[in-house]
Amino acid sequence: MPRITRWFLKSALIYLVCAIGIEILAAWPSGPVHRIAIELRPSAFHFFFVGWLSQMVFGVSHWLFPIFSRSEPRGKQWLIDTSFVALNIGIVLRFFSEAPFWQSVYPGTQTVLLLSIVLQWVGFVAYAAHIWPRIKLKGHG
Amino acid sequence: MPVPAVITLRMAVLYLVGGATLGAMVLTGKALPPYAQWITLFPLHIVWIAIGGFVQFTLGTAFWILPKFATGPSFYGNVRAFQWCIGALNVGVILYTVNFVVFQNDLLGLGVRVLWVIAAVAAGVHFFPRIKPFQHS
Repeated sequence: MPRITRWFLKSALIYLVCAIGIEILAAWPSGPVHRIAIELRPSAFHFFFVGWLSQMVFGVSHWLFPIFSRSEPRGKQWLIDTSFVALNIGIVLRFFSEAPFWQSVYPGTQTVLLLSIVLQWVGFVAYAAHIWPRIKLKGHG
Repeated sequence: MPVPAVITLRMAVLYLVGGATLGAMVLTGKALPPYAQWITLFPLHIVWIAIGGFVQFTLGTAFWILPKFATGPSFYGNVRAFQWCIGALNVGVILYTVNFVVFQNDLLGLGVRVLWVIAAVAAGVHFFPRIKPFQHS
């Protein structure tokens, strides 16, 4: 299993645990923990769909899809590395900026949120550019 | 990879990028008040990334990688059922998009769901026989 696939899958599992943890806190009887967890739910939802599901798909497909060429069996490594780094920084920045209560914790949450948007989008586009040439007919290219 | 898997997976990747772009627009709507109307794109973001993207990606990968048959007209089994599945799924996503942007018609919305049920049934027809041990016809 390639190194970047292992990173994708291990971080995916961490996000899954975090998403479930926040859901448990959101189900907590009313109180400050419950209120904060409720505000964090949209971010936790993306921990699940972007952090867990997307990274599972990205990591496994990078590992299993047909090879790109003999010199670069798994295609452009820098693209999948960019996808991993951008996606993970993007998700974490989103977590620390999306919920309204962060505005009272530190200034500049809007800028951090905008940065997280760009990074998550770059993560998806870099993955698409990486995997596209590896979706091919047997014996082609 | 066989042709149906290539077509399905490339469609899925396009929807993933489109869905991520819509998601970026929704979140921008949250971050920047002048773009607040972009938040209304949320349902389209979900359909593109979940159904057009991840469901289709899973179906394409499964078509490619599940056990094949040693005999028969096709090693991949009932390919026609898979074509119906992918056709109904994609026409459904396109109709959903057109209905969301232009018509907002409940009956058309129901038609989209019927297409997705057809896609799910066709997927079942294709994949059930292929869920079997390797090296058995």
